[in-house]
Amino acid sequence: MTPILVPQLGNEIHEAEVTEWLLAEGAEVAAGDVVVTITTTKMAIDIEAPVAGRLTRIAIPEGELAEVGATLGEIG
Amino acid sequence: MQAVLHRVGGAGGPRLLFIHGFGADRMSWLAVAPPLTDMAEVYAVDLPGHGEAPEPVGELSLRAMADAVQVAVANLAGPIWLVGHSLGGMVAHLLHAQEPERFPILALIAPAGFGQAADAGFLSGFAALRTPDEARACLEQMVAKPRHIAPAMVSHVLQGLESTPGRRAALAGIAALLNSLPPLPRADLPTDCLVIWGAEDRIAPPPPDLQGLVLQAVGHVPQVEAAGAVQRALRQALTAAQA
Repeated sequence: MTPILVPQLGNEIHEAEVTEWLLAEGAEVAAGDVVVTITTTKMAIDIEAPVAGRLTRIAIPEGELAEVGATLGEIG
Repeated sequence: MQAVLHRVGGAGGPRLLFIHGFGADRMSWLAVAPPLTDMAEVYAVDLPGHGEAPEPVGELSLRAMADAVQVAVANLAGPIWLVGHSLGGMVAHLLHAQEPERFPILALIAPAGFGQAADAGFLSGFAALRTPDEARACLEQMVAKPRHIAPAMVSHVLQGLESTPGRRAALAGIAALLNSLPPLPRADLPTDCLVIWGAEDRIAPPPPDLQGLVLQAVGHVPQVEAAGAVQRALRQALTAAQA
């Protein structure tokens, strides 16, 4: 399993809201595909799949807050 | 006039300094700069009249803005690799021209003003934005896909315009300056650094003969619209620069 992580956001922002999952659990993804969008107080950020595979788990659903480094979902 | 330096993070490795575009601030690098702290010591400035930097005083010029950045990083040992977007690209170009060894350019992203002027209406309209609808419509000119203008960005821009009593006048002044400048000769666009441009940039369209990374379906802010691709290109350029 490869986790999809909330990336580093610098020393001023520590969390973001999960705005939209662009894929459902079970969907195939290619490395570099945008799988989820998170929104900070400054802007929305597209998060890409770190590897190719299947989105096996959405760990943090839309509307919830996620801290830097948290696992948003997993690709298997 | 004063620019304000912010340390994004990172310890060891080359020093990187991100310089934002007109009307933006250090936060415009949020999707690109912080992840690079695993390989560089990363900083971002707020240019005079932007973000947390005070309004410009004295003669307004690009040279004065570049001087303000120079002062803001005076305590950092060089070399300081520059990444500049739009107006920030012009500032990076000036810093490099004056002190090439202290300020090597890593990347210019949609650097405005080379060969042709940036969109005058966008620049002059920005300072007068009052409502979320107005701000959204203005900001959407910057991107190829409207979804990249999130409500959070609209709020951040409007808060910035209201942040100090003099902010709108300062930005109007900077817009007037930019609109009054003749474009730099196209030949001045550096060829020895990474140049990234969105193919659908309507604010400062890419030169047709550009040798660089031209991103399809991307407008004037590749660091927001194609953050993954920009980040990978910067990593690659930084690795090559260190080799």
